[in-house]
Amino acid sequence: MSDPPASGRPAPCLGNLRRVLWEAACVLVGGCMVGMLANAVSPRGLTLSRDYFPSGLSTRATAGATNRTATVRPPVSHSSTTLPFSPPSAIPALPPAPAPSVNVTTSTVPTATAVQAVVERLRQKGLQPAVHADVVRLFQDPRYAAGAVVFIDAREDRHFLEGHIPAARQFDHYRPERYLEEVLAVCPTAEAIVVYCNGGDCEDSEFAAITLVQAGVPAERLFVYAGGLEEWSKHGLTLEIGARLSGVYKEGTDPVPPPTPGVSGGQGSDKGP
Amino acid sequence: MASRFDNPDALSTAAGGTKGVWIPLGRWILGALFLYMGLNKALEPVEFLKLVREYGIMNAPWGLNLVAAVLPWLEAFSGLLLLLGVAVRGTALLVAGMLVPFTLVVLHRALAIHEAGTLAFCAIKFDCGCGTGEVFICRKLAENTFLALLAFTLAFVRQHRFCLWKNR
Repeated sequence: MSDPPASGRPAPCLGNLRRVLWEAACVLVGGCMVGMLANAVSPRGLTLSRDYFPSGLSTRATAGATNRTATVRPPVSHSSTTLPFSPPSAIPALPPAPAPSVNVTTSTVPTATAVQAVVERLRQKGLQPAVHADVVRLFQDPRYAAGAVVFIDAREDRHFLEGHIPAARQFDHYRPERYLEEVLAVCPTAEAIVVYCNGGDCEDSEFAAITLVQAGVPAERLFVYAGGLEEWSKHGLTLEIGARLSGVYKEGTDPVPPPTPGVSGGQGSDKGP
Repeated sequence: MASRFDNPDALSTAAGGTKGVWIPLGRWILGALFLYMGLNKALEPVEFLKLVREYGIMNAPWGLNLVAAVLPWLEAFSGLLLLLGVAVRGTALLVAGMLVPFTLVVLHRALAIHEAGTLAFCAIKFDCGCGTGEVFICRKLAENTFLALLAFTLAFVRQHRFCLWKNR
């Protein structure tokens, strides 16, 4: 290191360092301003004040729901459970839940332990879990076609279009302004609303369910499919490809007939049964 | 005793000569990478937001949202400046300042996964939020280390060629 100049000015290296640091600070500030502006004008921008990952339902919202789950507690296994509502006597007996496909092994279907972990996580958040047998039963319920049962896919566009539970509605809670109006239009008449995403570590269904409750959907009618679409697919069940009610299905090894299309209300292209 | 810091050309010479192309080439590579990765994340802020949350560094919604909204654009902006040759030394120092803590965070997360499971460390693969999808961690750590060293080199070299705005 050279001796400082006789004039008392800082050594050249220090002056250079200060200049470089000043330059870095200017770039930092400029870049942050560009980022803030881009986020503000971009249609994909984030709302900075919004909590995209709500931790759970408030006590008041869960009071009704927890009362229901206290009396109707799904078991750990994939066996069916008592549904939270009793089908009216006029509706014929439900067909039995489909047996697992011969191609399904325990190594490909989510384990009971994994599903139970999700169930516990849902309960901790004040949400009602629904296991696979419940979900299939609700899917096969004639009231699904009538709009009394609603399935909601909590994933974003690309995943939804790649395949979803037939006639499920999309609700990407990261973009609620695009979907909330349509979803809220069908929820008041629904007796059961099943929200799902990929399953496992995917929490989007939970956040979507909490968002719906905060938007006014009764918590006691809301259920979260613990196994998610991963479990649905690995049981070889039918998926609908493309937009909702596209009529394009991907049959699994154990296809479950989709509900009569165009009946679940609200769409311009819907047609009656 | 004069040190190499007194010789403005010393580092340039050591890095390939003032007439060499290695420094500008390194600058362009670093700039292009940051521009590409930054734009990848900036165009999908929700996906990046989820990845930022997975690190568990902060839980405050405003903090998460701010990082997810601004950081990708800051990366892209820095990359563009490096490509164009504007404020190169300061930008390179900023890039190094982003790379070092990010690399440490990725390392920390990889070590946590390694300790929690049975995978070999270099077999661990996850989306680190770099904008290139899932990557093997050893490769990512090596890449980031190289890029950080490159960024520090660019920050210390006083004379840069092919710049829109010459450093004086």
